[in-house]
Amino acid sequence: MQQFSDSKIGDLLKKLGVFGTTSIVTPNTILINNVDDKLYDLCRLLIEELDAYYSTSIGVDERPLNGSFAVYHVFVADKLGLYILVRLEASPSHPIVKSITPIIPGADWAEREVMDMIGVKFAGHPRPYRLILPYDWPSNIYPLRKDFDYNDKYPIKDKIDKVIHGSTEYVVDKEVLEEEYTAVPIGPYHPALHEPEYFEVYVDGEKIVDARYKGFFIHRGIEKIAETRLTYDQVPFIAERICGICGFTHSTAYCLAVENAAGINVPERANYIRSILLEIERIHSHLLWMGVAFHLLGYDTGFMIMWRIREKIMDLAEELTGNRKTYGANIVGGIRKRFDISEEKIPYIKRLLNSVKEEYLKYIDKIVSMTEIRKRTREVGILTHEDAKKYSVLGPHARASGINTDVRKYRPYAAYSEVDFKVPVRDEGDVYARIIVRHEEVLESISIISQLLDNLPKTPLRAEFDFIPEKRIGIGCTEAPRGEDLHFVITGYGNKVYRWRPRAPSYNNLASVPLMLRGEKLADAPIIIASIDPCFSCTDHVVVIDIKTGRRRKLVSR
Amino acid sequence: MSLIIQLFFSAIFILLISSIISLCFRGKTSVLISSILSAFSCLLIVLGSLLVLVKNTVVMMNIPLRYMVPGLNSLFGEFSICIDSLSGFFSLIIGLVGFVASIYGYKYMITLYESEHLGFYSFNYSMFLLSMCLTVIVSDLFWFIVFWELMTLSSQFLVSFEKEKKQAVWAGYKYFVITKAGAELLIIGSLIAIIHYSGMNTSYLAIRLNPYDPISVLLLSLFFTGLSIKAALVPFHTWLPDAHPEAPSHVSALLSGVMIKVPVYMMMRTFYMFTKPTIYWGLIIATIGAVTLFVGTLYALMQTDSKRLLAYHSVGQMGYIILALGASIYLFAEKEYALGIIALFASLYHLINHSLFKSTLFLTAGSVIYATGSRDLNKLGGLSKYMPLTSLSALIASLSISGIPPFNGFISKWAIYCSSFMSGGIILFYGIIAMFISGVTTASFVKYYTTIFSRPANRLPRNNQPAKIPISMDVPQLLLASLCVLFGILPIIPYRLIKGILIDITMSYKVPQDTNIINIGLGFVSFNGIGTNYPLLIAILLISISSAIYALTITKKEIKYDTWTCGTFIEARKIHYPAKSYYSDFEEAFHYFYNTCNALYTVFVKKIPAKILTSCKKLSEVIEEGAHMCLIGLAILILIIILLMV
Amino acid sequence: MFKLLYILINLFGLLLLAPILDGLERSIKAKLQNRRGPSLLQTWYDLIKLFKKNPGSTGTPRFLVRYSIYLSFTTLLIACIIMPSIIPYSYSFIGDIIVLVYLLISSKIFLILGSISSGNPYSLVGSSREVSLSMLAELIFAEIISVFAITNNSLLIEELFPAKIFKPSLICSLILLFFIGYVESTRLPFELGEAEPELSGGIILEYTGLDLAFAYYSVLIRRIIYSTILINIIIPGNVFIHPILYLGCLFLLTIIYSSIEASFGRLRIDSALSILNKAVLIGGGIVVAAVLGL
Repeated sequence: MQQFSDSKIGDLLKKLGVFGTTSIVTPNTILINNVDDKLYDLCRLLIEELDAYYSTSIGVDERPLNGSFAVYHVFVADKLGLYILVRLEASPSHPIVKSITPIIPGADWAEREVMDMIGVKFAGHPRPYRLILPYDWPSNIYPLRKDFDYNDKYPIKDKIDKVIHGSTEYVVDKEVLEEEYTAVPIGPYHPALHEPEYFEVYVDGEKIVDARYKGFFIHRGIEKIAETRLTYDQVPFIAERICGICGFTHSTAYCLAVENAAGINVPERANYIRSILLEIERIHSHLLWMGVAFHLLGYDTGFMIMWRIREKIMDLAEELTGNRKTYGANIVGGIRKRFDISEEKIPYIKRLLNSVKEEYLKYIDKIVSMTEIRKRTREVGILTHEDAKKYSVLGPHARASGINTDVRKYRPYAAYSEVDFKVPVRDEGDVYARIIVRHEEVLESISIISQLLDNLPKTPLRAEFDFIPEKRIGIGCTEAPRGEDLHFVITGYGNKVYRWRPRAPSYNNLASVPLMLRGEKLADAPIIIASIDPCFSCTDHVVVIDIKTGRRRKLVSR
Repeated sequence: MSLIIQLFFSAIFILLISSIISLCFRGKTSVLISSILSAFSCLLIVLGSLLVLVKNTVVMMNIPLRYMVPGLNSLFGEFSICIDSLSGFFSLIIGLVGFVASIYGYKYMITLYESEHLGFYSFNYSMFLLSMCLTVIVSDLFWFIVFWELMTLSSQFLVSFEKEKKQAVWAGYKYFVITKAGAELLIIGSLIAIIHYSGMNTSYLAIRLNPYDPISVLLLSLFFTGLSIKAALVPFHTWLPDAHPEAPSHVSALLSGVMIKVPVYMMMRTFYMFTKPTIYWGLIIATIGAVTLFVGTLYALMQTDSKRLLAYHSVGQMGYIILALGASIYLFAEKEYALGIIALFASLYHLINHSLFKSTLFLTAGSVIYATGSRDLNKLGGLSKYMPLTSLSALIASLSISGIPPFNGFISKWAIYCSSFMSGGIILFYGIIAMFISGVTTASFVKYYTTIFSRPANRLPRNNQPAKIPISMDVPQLLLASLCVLFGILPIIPYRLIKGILIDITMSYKVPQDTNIINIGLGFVSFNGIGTNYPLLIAILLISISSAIYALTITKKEIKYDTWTCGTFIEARKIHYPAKSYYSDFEEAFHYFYNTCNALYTVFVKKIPAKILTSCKKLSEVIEEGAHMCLIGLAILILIIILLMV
Repeated sequence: MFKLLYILINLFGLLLLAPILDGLERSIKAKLQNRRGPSLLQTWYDLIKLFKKNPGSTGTPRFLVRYSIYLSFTTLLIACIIMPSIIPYSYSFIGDIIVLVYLLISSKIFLILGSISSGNPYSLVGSSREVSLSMLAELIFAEIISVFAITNNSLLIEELFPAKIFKPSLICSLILLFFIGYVESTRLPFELGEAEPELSGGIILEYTGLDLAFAYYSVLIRRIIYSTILINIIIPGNVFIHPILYLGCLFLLTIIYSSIEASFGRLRIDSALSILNKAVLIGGGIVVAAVLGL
């Protein structure tokens, strides 16, 4: 900890008196222990003085390791390139810690998830209701505890607890809301949504008064499976299946986290190839999103055009990896051997990229300047700069509200420190700004890939290492197409992870949707929900139980 | 002839007796007596009017009163009655709606107003019917005004019947004051007419005005203003949306369905009989009609109280009638007799149609109040399973007022459009506005019907247990609703009722014989060279083809399911859609109009009278000093005037 | 006797043509989006598939929700009988052009009554939008009919189809009719009642199987009726030329409408109402011109 003692952060910690209990876990991560009642001051000072933002919270059952439950709050000091972990401990007999939601609204969901999964209660949380687990899950069984086996079966509760909660305060009194206004259910089955989620939107005629959200319909038990059944090298494959669109990002972030924890240096060529594949995925995701956005605005011709251009990107991916999506290229320490890019392919790739760029530019200018598209997206779904900071939104959503943040630029990973690119930021905060930000990112990605292809170094593809040390904490962060994707790993015994927490960017972004919906028209609700590019598969990956245990749930009940 | 007189006089006599007797009883008995006797006498009135209209006769009778009060001159000396086709038509409407409302009123009053001065109600109710009937059959200006004032007085007591409700008392008071002011204008106009034109003869036949004479312009303006205050034309309509909802529902039906038509009777007498039609008066009347229908209906669109919505629609639909009347006066003055006859036909047809469907609608609103005690459209819903017959009548009446073929509202609106579209000039624009407002009416009644009967409720008042509607309340509504259907499919029936009036007017204006424009058969109407309409065939095709299609689907088993809520469970009351959310975007698109009207209302109805009131207060303080002197002086002045005139 | 035959040919011809025209529209939209579209008969296949399914019912009262679709469909059939289409004869004594317009309006009102009765919030939002739009569309229609009445001195179908007197105001009102036919026939910028991504079906959400087939069919027939009104005013009424010209113009109109539809997104209700307000003002100007004799 000595090298920090003179810096800003050292001063801050000394002021609060926790300098002694802080330790460096990896070169870019510090861990602050024994915070107790200085928690609120610490959080406030971190946000104000270091310009850090709250990222997520993770609950870990550390009873086999040191006999207690632990909650880690992750703060990211973007400009210093530093991750700050604040660890709170809770004893098994009395598992209560203080909640930081009253001062950081963005921590709402993460703390409720810990309550559901690990069973630690947060004192002072304004809405301590169930978030992840379904309504009929028994109330004292916590799936992510180490004494819960991944294929345990439990009886369904008879009574169904039907309460929907949002993550923001009620603007209008709940009784008045239900009496005076009409609740329009958007989801779980709705043509505007790709994955099941539930927005209960209260309208007055056509105007939206309030919105409540319930998600987590597609839990698949990924974290539990990774902790109990899979080795380090098998987890990237399941990480890739967290999401259909941003799979490679998740597997890269996991590999980065483990490499961070174990201190492995990935060879250059592997970094370059990782970056190229990540950028291809970004272009693919943004083009898909634009098609969907135009479809929701009713402009089907634009939808067809964007998806036709997207086909070429998928051809490119197939040429490089053999798959149109879900490449399976990552492994801890580098890239798998068969995913090398040979010299003959490079001219073809460049030709393809050029044709994509031409066609894309030809159409997108015409579409974005159509009066109708502008009328329906300008000044619609505004998220102000202050609210964006309060809820810690990430990615293009934050960049469209004026927050200049990009993991590739400020905490570079893979080969991003070797290339030159701009970070597009706009400050209107409406749907139009989000379209323009993603449009510019597509152009930047094309330029990044060209730069990387020109300078591909010749090194091995995978790092050599003996073993991965145990009980080490590592954080891996990538810039997914939707924002900062953070993976928290605690390495474990027997070639397995002890705790793996993938936190997708949509987790933070979704909390801001009810804010954006208030005061807008119902006709704009689908495009506002879609404008944060929600990836519900990413968000909902957390553990429930294995669905195939013979439990049959009726989705509609009286 | 004497049969008609016998029918009318016995009706009048029975109504008089009913009002006096029911004062002597209390509670349920008085209501029973007045209901039965009023219903019977209204039936007699209907029969008498039908005889007048079918036989196309004029019945006149003079009862000299001189021998009762010796020394009185002709001013108060005679009680003369003249029942021609115009009077017969209006008394038919009075009798029909009165009959239905009297039967309906019995159960309604004894259940809802549990013995709150019901004797006083019965007295006023019979008086009201009596005075309305007499107003349209006398042929003497003085007696007309006497019965007009009596009509206003008795209906005011009926409006403010619920003495404990401040709103009702205030509404009754406002109604009385405003219409009394109108009556004052009528009195002044009559005085001028009597003194200046007819040489102290108050009989209708003696009044012949020259429309271009400045004094008669003044007189006609006074008459028209006084009558339009009572008929609730814009800008004098502000009493109606407050008064009609507060009255008991069958009284509202009488007020809206009949009482606001009596001024139209007098207008027709004035502009066709007392004077010749002129272009200016035609345009003025048509313009006021167009403004009324525009303002009234657009305001009705935003109401969420069932009876207030219906009251605003009464204002709007009166606009249709007045528009057609003005158009016909204009066309007669322009010597376009064919189109003028069509317009007059349309006006009278719409008048009787409006009585029918508006009364039905008010009676259905009354049934809803009877069952649930609520008028709030935001809370009601799904009542059709508790009161199927009421919802059927409401559906028929709503479709009629919207002008959906083949119901009666459609035929009269179609006739209005035919005459106004073909006449060119400003009347054409009024026709276009009328067609637009017909669409707004449709929207408003879709809202009325569906928020009460159709889509599920939030939480029904009275704990989700609406009371059952008794037969004596269901049958009158169905009767009127079936008349709506009948008048729509067989337009020859109302044509026979109106024909007498048209013949009278064409004969008095010496219309050339070859303008035989209206061609009516059993179930079709056509205007030569202008338009054609075959509602009977449309109705037959509609019912038969749609029933055939429905019958073909009987073989497939129908799947019954609950409303789709996107796969989640959500309580029914949460997805309830209140009435205030309907058409909110349309109201926003028209917010210029609404803001202007609200501003005008605030200035003219609230601020200026308040200023006048404060300045009057100051004046009255001054007068109170010498109050006694003033009163004596005023009394002497009046005596001098009477002696001079006599 | 022959007249009945002609009327039946007209009626069944229109019933047959309506889905084929929709298939044509879908193919053209597909070509404009650079993809292979469905075949011309695809809409017929869809309708037949739906006709074979069971109907469903919901709402209060259940009977009204189902029966109103049949009433709506029947009203459109009566409208088809009144006006000449393929063969220039019709039972025009049943009604004149005002009756025709009111039959179209009442078909929409029956559909709306049925859909509101189902109680679904999506249906209610969609119906509220649809009624707001059609109130203004009715005003524009009134302006168009008044121009016909003034220039041709009659409201009868025989006198107006085809129009005998052509004046500049009549031609301008035909352009307005072209626009209003587009707006009222559930085509894309104005397809607000059934907006699928926003309202997941809107007005026709609660209809399934057989009733949904009739709901779709009503939309298609309504489109053809609007086109027919426009075409009939222009083309001459000779028995031999009329069918050929009519069918040709119908296909031409369909191609034009679908090309316009392919290049637009969906409007929000306030923008749609403001566009219609502007059209009302333009219509008012045309009426003034007609009254002044232009």
